[in-house]
Amino acid sequence: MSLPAEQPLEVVPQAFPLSEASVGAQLWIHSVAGSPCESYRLHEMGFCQRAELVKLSHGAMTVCLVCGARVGLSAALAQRILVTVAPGESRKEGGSSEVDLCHSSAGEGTFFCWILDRFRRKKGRRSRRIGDEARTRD
Amino acid sequence: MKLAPGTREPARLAEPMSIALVGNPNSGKSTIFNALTGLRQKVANYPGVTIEKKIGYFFDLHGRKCQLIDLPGTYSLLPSAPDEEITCEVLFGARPDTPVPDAVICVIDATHLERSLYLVAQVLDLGLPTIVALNMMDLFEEGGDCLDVAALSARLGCPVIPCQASRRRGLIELRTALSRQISPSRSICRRLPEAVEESLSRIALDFPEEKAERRALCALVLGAPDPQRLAELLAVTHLLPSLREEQQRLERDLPDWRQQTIATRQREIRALTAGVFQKSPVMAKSIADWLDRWVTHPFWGWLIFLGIMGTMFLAVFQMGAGPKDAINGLFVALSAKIEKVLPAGDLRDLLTNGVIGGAGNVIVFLPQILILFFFLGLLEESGYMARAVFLMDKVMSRVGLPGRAFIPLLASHACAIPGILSARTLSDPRDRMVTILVAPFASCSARLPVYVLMIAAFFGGRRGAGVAEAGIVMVLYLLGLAAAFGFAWLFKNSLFRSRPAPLVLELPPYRRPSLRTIAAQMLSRAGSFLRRAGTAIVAISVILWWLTAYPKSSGRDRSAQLAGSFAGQIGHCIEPAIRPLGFNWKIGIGLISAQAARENFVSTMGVLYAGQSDGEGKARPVTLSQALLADRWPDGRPVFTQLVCVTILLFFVFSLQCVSTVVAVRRETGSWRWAFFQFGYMTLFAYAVCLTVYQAGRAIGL
Repeated sequence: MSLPAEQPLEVVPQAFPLSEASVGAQLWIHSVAGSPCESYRLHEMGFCQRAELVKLSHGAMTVCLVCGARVGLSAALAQRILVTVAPGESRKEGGSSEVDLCHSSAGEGTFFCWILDRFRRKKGRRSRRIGDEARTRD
Repeated sequence: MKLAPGTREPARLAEPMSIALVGNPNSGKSTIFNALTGLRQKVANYPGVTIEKKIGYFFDLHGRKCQLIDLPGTYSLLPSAPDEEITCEVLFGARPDTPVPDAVICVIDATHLERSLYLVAQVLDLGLPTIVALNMMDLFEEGGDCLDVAALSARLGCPVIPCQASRRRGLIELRTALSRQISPSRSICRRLPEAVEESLSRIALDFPEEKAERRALCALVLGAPDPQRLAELLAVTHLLPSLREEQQRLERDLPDWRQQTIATRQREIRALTAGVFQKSPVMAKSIADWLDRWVTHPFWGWLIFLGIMGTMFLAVFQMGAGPKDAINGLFVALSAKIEKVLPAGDLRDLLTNGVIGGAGNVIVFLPQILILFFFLGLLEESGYMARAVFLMDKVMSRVGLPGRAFIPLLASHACAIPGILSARTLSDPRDRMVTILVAPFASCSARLPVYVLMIAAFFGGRRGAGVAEAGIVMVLYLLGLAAAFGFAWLFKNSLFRSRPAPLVLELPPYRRPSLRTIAAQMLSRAGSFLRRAGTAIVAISVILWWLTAYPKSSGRDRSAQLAGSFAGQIGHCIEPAIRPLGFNWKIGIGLISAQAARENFVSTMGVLYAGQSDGEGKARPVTLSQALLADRWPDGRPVFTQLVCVTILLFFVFSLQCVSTVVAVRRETGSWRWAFFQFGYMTLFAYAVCLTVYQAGRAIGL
């Protein structure tokens, strides 16, 4: 695996939660939100700044390939890991990249799962919008 | 205790060379341990199987005795849970019962090379002679990845031995490497952020003498989010003031210094593997992705989980019934033979009613217990366990426990003690305590004989439909889990308030279960079950027989003799307390003997109902369930009605009846208070549930 080029994090494209990344996307880890106690082990397992990560699937658990290992993350944790798109990869519009059911392993799930995914994403977008509006008002 | 590397004396020939096995969870350390020592430590395909250090011996190629220490898996030398603390203590020589190892075998899963090298780098920092065992090379090669082993060895500065421990490949090379003189290891990651480097230099001044592991120790304790605990563990509390000062300084100057330190190390590791390790560029969708999708699905995942459990219990009844009847037939024939050979008297009664009636009635359940273990072995070996943890994560987080706590609960289905011990893998002490307190609700294999006996009585002593029997057992298992979740919620919202840690778990690959491993585990379980039946259960059966046989009363029938015996007198004393549950004094005696171990209930019933005629009064050999059904209250009502059978089943689901579990809880919690609290609340809850169910059943005319 190539060593990612050193560049300041400020110029890296906007970070977004791992839970919102497309299945199959190659990503860089931007940061892990949470207390040092909670984040430390994650860093040691390979979830540290600029580490490469491939999202393999999501649903009840988010599976990703990091440092060559398949690691399962709960939905709550996948929200806390912020990632950026790896160079050469383009992120789908809107920040919340939709899972392409025809081309991703998510498509191997069921119609029920697809509906659930859509529902979760809509809910997530709405809560973010409400949060943004509240911040704007403040 | 040996001195630090460099100043270390070579191991004397008379003393066995001490070698520690270190590695990430599920990298195959115990498999290598078993292969080298010939022992049979439990191995399974999920992280966190080994939770204690295990010691075995083998001989190197020079015939020198070596002591091999199998340590719990960890991702880093900075421990986050009690099982990882053991590994850290042993490597730093902080355990009084274990010397500093003379050498270390770092077992790494070749398919996770980059991630595993993080721990290898920390071990190399210690300066101990180290060998890297690259396990699971078969899977690595299957994946199409390439590795220049010689180049990796040169860059790490230590021998690297490719192996496949499950097939015993590479073990001779490993022994050969251990037989050679291995030089102390050297650090491969020396770069640190400048501010951290300066802090380390300042802390290191507090060490009285030059030590090779000084820098490693300082770096470890400095990075620890809770330096107090680690400093106490490694006996370096004198460093605490300067550590705290430096941590504050770093927080101020470089807020994300911890993350930067780890990132720097991992960058160095990636640089080290560049040109040595070539990952296959093909990222094909694997069958594992497809399976993961289904087995962790919020709907289909549960259906699969329940389907697996249902199949397991159906097999227990359908496949186990034949061998069980065959063993029962053997004991009946043996009993008849003894009755023919020996004259009537105490010795004959002791053998037929005491030993065979007691222990024999427990041994007949061996086939069914083995089938249960066969299925549990399949689940553990296949890689499904880790997925089940994710399936349960949502439920577990609702009750306040981390998803990882489901592993101890699952392990408790075999026996509560390993389940309680495996709670050591949980990092939060409050989560660990709650898991320990609720783990015995998971129905262990010792409950199975009671379930089978009572279900047979429920169906009137006849063979019920296999599906119905399996369905009842499954409901009982699920009830146990529901109680565990319910009490976990209660404890997490009262005594042990904390936020559950989010779940992160390495997913082991799906593997075809190794029948040899499963058979070895079944054999080991059968051995321990028979040992227990042949010792503790026989002893209790003999004592119980004596209590039922004395004092002798002449000219009275068996039931009058029983009622007047010591056992009868004890039973009648406790009867008022259990009568509201529908239990007679004999069941009461069974419940008392079951406090030692749950199977004793069956053996006690076997002793108390030995020689009982069937319901028609004919004195022909009857099964235990038929003997139970023939029992009557003084007013002629049957004792074992369907309602009473259900009440007994519920009592066994919810109560804690195992002295060994109480002792294990005391050891893990470090206090008898919690052990007795657990015993008390579970027994009271079981009593309350049984009282409610029985009285409600009576009220509606059951």
